[in-house]
Amino acid sequence: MGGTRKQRERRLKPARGRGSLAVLPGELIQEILWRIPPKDVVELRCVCKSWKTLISSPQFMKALIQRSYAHIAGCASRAAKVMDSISLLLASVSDGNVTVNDISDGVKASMEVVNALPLSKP
Amino acid sequence: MGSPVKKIMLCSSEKEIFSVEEQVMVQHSVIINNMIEDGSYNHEESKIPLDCVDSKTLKKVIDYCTHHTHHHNDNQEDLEAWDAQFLNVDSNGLYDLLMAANYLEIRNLLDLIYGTIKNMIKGKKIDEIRRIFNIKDHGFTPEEEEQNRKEYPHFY
Repeated sequence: MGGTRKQRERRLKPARGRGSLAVLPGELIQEILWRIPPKDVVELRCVCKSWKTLISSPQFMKALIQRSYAHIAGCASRAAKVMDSISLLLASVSDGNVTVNDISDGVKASMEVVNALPLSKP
Repeated sequence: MGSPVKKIMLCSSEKEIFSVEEQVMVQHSVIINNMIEDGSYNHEESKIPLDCVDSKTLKKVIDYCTHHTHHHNDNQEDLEAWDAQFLNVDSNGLYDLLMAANYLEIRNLLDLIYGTIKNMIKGKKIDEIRRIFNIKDHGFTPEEEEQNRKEYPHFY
């Protein structure tokens, strides 16, 4: 409880100087930077020394990898669901209880999921 | 009739008092939720002092939390349009909102602001990014700057 209160008091201190995004604390800059795809974040090291230090730090790189991993895992799990539904469709074709319309709808729904997978950004 | 809506008092850096539905702030702000839960907020006499949040910003933060509490069932498009309009502020305004959302730990507002700033720098050249963040001294020696320029020519 004491720790929480201390933290709260620390947070209560007004920010140094008001104004532009220039005075954002490093931890908030970090929050912005690790939302950027890894391939784009590397060149942001050229913006200034403090961004370079931040982006090159092991903690930042670890967080970046974790985010990418979670994103790819999410894509993979959605892709697996699509594969499942296509297998089901295939099975019902063999059973003969499926119409051309069912197939068309099923494939369309699957393609929508596939197209929605944002493969290029984390 | 239901019981009257419970209110809490928030006090801006200008000592202006804002009375807000407790549920609205509890739902959005981790800090206020903790204060209510651990009993450190007394409904009879407490005001939550937000010394680092000015009245203009606090009013906006309250608008955000209120809208997202009462309209969370709206369709996604309407909410996104509302959010975009809400964040149509200059970079000082964005800075103030970010600091306030960070202090109050309003996670969905933080995500919204971070996403907006991310979009502001997406695809931009280095000078533009330095301008957005008002970086006057990048701290690189002329040699280092030249090396960076060689490595990422399209970024300059």
